[in-house]
Amino acid sequence: MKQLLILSGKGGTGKTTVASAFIKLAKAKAYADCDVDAPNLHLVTEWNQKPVRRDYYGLPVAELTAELCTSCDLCRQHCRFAAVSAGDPYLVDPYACEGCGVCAYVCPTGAIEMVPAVAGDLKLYRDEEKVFSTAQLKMGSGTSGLLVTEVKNEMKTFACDASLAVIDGSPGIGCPVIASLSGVDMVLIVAEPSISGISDMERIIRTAEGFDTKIAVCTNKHNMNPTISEKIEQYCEGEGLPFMGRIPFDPAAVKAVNDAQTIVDIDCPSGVAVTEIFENTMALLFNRVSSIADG
Amino acid sequence: MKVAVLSGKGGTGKTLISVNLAAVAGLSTYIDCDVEEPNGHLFFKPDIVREELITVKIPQVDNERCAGCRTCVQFCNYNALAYVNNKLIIFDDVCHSCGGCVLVCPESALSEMDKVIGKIEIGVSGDVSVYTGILNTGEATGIPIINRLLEEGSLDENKSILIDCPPGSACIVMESIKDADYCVLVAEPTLFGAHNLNMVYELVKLFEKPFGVVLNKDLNEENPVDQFCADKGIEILGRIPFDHTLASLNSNAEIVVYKKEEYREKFVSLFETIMEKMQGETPSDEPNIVSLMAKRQCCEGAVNKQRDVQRCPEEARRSPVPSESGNDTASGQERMCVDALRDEQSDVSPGEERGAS
Amino acid sequence: MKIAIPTDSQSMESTVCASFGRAPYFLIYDTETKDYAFVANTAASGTGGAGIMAAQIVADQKVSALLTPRCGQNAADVFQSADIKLYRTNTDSVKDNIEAFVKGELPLLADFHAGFHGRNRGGR
Repeated sequence: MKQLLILSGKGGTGKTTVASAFIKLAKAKAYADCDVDAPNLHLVTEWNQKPVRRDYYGLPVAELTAELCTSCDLCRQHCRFAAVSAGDPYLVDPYACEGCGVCAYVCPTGAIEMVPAVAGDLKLYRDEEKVFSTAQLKMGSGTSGLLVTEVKNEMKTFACDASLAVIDGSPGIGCPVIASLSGVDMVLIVAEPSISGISDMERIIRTAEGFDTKIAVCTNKHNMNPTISEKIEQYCEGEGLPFMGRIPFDPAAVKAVNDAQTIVDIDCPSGVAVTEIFENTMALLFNRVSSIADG
Repeated sequence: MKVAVLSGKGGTGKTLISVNLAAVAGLSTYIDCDVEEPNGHLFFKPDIVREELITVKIPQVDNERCAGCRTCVQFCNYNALAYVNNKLIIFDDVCHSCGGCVLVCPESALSEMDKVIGKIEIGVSGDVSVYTGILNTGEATGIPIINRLLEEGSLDENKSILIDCPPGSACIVMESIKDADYCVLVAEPTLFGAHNLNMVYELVKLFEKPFGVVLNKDLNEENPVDQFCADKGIEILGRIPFDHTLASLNSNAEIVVYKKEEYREKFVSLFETIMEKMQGETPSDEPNIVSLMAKRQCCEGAVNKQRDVQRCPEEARRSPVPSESGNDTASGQERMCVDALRDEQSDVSPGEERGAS
Repeated sequence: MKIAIPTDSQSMESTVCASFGRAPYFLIYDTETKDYAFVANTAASGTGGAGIMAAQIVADQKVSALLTPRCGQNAADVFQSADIKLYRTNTDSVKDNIEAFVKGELPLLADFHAGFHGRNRGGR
């Protein structure tokens, strides 16, 4: 199974719009939404049944038993995350706690215990022929590479004979992005033609370059700023990154999303453009098989 | 006064709104807390007055003293330490700087040193002081940078302070809004936009912050965000219409209020609306929420690490689902979207399948 | 010579696990005696630093080589300190890889990915 990861560096560039169109065009049998902070892909993919849910446990957090606490203040003094507040009884803020266990270690009366904590919700949609894995991180939980890894693992576990997996990536350049990059065969970066879009794209390319994966770029809303759009293409040429195509700004795309459809479900300019990008991307992704065999 | 500008997702116009509000606010401070993708400085192009490197503590080992007992390796919940070939190896990129290893070492073989994870830049652009935090690539957390930014940027209380928050509703956003007097939630008029707005809406409710919504890229037609706001009784502070000229100026990192009078008027009016709303609110001495029952089931509660008040905000545990009202005129498809959203928001129903895999 | 391979199950018929740090088991195999054992990877479910802990587990088995499709930078650092050589597997089959290794057909693993940076400061 070839895994294609769609990334953008920042949110809102149209990552999910492109991913949902690709899933439709490829009739993908396996796909996942790794944007666990703000998952959107489930809004535009069609599933009639409810997902199977599973709790995701992050690091354990400190739990303080008030009756055992002697208010010695050692835990508060040692906590590096300002998660303990003085008082009667002492209190641990589970959002601030990073699960290091120092407070439990220094507590002379054993009043603090490290207990498992739910940090997110994994959801798996599955039928006879296809699988869709997604998750939602609980509000206030830290970004989590492991949750992203679990989303991908659930997809892989049930992917059966799928030849292609489409993965909607996380925004940013932090830990979840790195986790979503691991093990993928190709990354398609959706860039927006703006000064900040270029800066974000360069950061995500630098991040992706550390991985053993093919990197390609396309632009979304390219006609919003043709000059910068041109610059992005030049940049790709200079860096030797294959450029997959341009998607124009298209009010019909907004309409499609609001109707829970993908842009290839309706007849619109952005749908035509993304179809071409899809074909270019598939050619590149599956050519890679022979290039590996050669090397 | 501090105004935090946030959105459930990047790319909705958080930076557009906060940069232009700062630009019309007279003597003001703009703080870019989006340390992973700091873009505000690209608009303000400030003259940098000062730079400060931000460091965290990481352990170092004195191999002469290390007896190879592995107590530190076992203690570290982040697996930042390994012991092979009679040598301790420290991985500072997974270290959380908790200090635990130093504490548990029976031989006192570990000590701490500073490691740079990024920097803050303080600059000036006209009347606006610009505070930018930049996280080095490959570093996983910007929270120490955000804390330092907010500390530095909040010194002059007489200025209007605009905080450009990181996207999402994770802990890093909580850090950015915890001292804000007012929150502006920016949303796009799409189904995604409504879904993402709901997340930050829950967040500001949890923190009991006064807030309002700004609709960006408004197409002046019926949309899921207006519907959402109407259902929840949320006030829309202003609308930035979808406009090619504005989008083009913004994509070139121009501050639109400097370029066109009509945009200036728009943002001045938005700024004034926000000021009025803030006057209307009693200054928040709110006993900030403290989740601290520390029982896992209260985990949905809220937090403020600086207060000692304890309360388990039951009301914040789960957001209500959108009401049915207003759906009568919706087409089948729109109704489906709203259903999808509601399904998303609602908690696991008792009979639902759970577990496996 | 003792070698290790990340596996998906506790059987010689198992496939090689695609991820080193998150592999459920490690096969520890002696190429001379053909003795083998499976070690559970207790690091697999950890939130962060799984590669490091997994490498520690493998290193503690005193193996001389690890056969794996990929490996993170942090784990590679542990193996380097432990003088354990890394080889890139060429198929999914555990058996085929052992055979290829014995014949000297497996290449050394050269590229290490940047890893997960599994920390999640400020939350869980």
